[in-house]
Amino acid sequence: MIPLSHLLTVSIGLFAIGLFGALSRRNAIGILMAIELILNAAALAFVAFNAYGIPAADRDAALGQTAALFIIGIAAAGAIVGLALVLAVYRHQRTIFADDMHLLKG
Amino acid sequence: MPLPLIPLLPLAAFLLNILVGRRLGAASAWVSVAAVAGAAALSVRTFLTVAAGHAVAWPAPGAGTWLPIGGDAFRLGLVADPMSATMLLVVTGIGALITLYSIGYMHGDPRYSRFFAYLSLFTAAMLLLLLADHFLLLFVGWELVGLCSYLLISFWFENPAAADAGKKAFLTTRLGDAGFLLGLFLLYTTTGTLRFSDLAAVAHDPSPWLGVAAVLLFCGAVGKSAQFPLHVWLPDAMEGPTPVSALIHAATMVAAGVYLVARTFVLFEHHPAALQTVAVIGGITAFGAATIAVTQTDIKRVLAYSTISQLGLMMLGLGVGSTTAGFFHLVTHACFKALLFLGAGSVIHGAGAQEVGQLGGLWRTQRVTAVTFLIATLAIAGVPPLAGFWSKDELLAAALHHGHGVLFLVGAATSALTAFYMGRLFLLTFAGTYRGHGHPHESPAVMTVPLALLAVASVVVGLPGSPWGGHAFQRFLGEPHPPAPDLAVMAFSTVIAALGLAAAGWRYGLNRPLLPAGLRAALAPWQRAAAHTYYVDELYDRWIIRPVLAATRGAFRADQRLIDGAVNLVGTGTLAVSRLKRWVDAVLVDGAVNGTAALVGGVGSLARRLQTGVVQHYLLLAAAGAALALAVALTRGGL
Amino acid sequence: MTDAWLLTVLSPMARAAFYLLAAVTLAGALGVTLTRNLFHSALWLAVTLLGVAGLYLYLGAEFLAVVQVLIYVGAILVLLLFGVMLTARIADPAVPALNRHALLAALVALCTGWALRLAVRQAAALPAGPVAPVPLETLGRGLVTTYVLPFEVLSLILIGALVGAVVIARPERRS
Repeated sequence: MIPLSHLLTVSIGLFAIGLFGALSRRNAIGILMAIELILNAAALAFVAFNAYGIPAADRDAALGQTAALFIIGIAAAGAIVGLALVLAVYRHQRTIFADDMHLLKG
Repeated sequence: MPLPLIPLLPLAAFLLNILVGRRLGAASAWVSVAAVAGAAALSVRTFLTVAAGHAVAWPAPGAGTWLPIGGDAFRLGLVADPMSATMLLVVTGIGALITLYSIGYMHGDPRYSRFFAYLSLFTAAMLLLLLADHFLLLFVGWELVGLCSYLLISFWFENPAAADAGKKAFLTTRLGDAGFLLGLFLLYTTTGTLRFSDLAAVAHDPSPWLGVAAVLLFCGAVGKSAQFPLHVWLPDAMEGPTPVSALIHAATMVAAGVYLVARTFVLFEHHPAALQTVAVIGGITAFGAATIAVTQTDIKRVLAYSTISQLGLMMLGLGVGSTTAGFFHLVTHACFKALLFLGAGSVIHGAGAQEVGQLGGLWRTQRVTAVTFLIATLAIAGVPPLAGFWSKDELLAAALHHGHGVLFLVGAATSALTAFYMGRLFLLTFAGTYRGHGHPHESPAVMTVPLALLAVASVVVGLPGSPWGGHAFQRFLGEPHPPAPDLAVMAFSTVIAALGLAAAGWRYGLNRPLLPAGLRAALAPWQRAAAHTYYVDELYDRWIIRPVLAATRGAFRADQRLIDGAVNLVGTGTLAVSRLKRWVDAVLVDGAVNGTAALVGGVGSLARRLQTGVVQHYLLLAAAGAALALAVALTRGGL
Repeated sequence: MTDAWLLTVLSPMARAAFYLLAAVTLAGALGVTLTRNLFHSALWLAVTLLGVAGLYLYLGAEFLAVVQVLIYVGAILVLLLFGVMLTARIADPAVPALNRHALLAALVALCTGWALRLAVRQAAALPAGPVAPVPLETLGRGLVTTYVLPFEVLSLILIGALVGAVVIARPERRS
């Protein structure tokens, strides 16, 4: 049996890579993709914990998977809005590079 | 008969004339004449009382005080003793005649009544001076006559020369008066008294300060009697009306100095050094003034220097130790000098000029004036048996008998010169032909009558002091042993008088040169110096007046600089403070404000750099922050 | 089903499968972030998502695995692909994939990862082994009883997102 920490390691790794991508991808959609990674990492962690008996109470036995479901839902909503935003920006500024989106520059 | 009435009558005349004189008009003069005549009458009565042996004093002993301080020392009053009684006669007598004379001389003057007011004030002050039995009272009179002298000299003050002369007289005599006051202070602090009657008692005090006091008192006399070196005011004082010159500057006021020394003689007696000073000053003055008188061309100037010279002789007489000699000459001089001045006034009035260059030949047109002038000339020259001879002779004798050979010679030389210059004056004025451009005529009776009366006086007034009069005068004055008549000196005096007159006659009457050409050339520089009064005025101007004025200007400038400096200092100080404040305001306050704004702006600008607008940067920071927080929380011991 | 699962879990092959899946997932993740070509990046994302689905399977969450594939890969990824397509410049080799702060980002990511790992290490006691998988029925019941509120809210969020996306991405009016 795989210790929980291994699974968590995978989750953490995924999170880290996703964070890295979110911070450093030039393409806006690339950033969105990286964010999907992060969300997946979180969901994975949830499911992992759930599979290993946390939470233990009967009522919350499916909390982990439920959470993962919700995460997927949220991810979808996020992707929708994000994409819409990218398209809107693209239409205006003719760019999809995050670096060039600095209209809100103070 | 109260003594105060004597000075009070003229004082009343003064008040009347000064207040309502304008309305009285011509009558104001007669008010003054009446007052002084009344005083004269009272003086005669006083004199007779004193002559009978009773000294008259007021207030009666034991009553009356003036200054409530100092107790006994400041009990003031009046006293008439032989000396003052004589002077009373002189002053009131001559004063009355001169006042009468002034009616004619000042006729038509716009300030007619004021003249008589001043004249009366002067008479009152002089009488007070004479009657005082206390130094302080004498000083009051002293100052008052000085004031009147100033007022009368600059009577025609529109003339700047007259105004200046008045100031000069006042200031110069003031200088002497400063010494007088110092002497008074010294006398009081040394002896504790200022009464004349106490002088005899305290004179024995061996303190040398008394000698100093005596010299200081003499300073006052030097000023008042125009002795060297304070003689410079008297010639200039001739700017005043001639009656003023006659009364004040010939007969009376200038005699006050001599009177003072005579009064306080007992002090001088005990301090030979002081006495010697008096004699020497007198000698220098007598001779020097005589040499100047020889060169002058203005009648009044000649007479002025003559007065100075004669006063010097009086001082000389006192200085060699003979009060009677000096005093005697005082009395006789008053008569003939007043006559000479009034005569000069008559000449000025009649011929319209005072420079001898404009005169001459007036014997024909102004006979009375000429005759009286001649009598006075002979008297002053010392021709016996006129008054001047007796008094001058006594002076010379006193000098000789008291062992002052040099002073005797000085006196003799002065007498010779006196005869010479007076003869010169007479001849230049009355002899020869008229050189002027006017119409010389004799003066009115109101002027010539006094002349005649004074001429009579000039003849007879010497007799009571002469051996023929039994030296009555001297004995009257209290001299226990009148000098035995010294025939040698008498002959000598006569000879020098004759020589002087003869020389004048030779030179100015016959117009023959007096001195050989060589001697004349040798003496020429001396003659020039004498004609310029030995440059005394110039010396004073250069060495005293100008430095003092320069000092005052310097002081003024320094003061100004001080004040200006202070003001400027305040100004610059205020400016500096305001500049400081501005700096503070600009740098500190504004700096604080601006600095704060700049700081905020700067911080804002810095912080602004965070707002790149690029989302990833924000995210980066957030992630970094979160990671850091997480790390810190974890390393610190658990979440 | 339970027995079969237990058998599967205990099997060393299963263990190997885990490591494989883990590797694939992580590799896919790297691919997503590092690929220059955005399309390829999307494909790598697909790989990663599938990997995660596999991990779900391994963990006994079959429903979730299916949902993952259906929704994530089937819908979201497609959406992303649409986006990629619509915004051209996908095959520009000159444009680098990462921006200037890549290194810093890597550092931050590493730190975060390390911090999280620390947290995991510090955990008092991790459960030793897996437990019986949660039956689907529990999940379903939970969704409509305990978690009905989040469920409904999620549906609202989705609607909102849809509406919002339409509003945002709408072409501008010509009025």
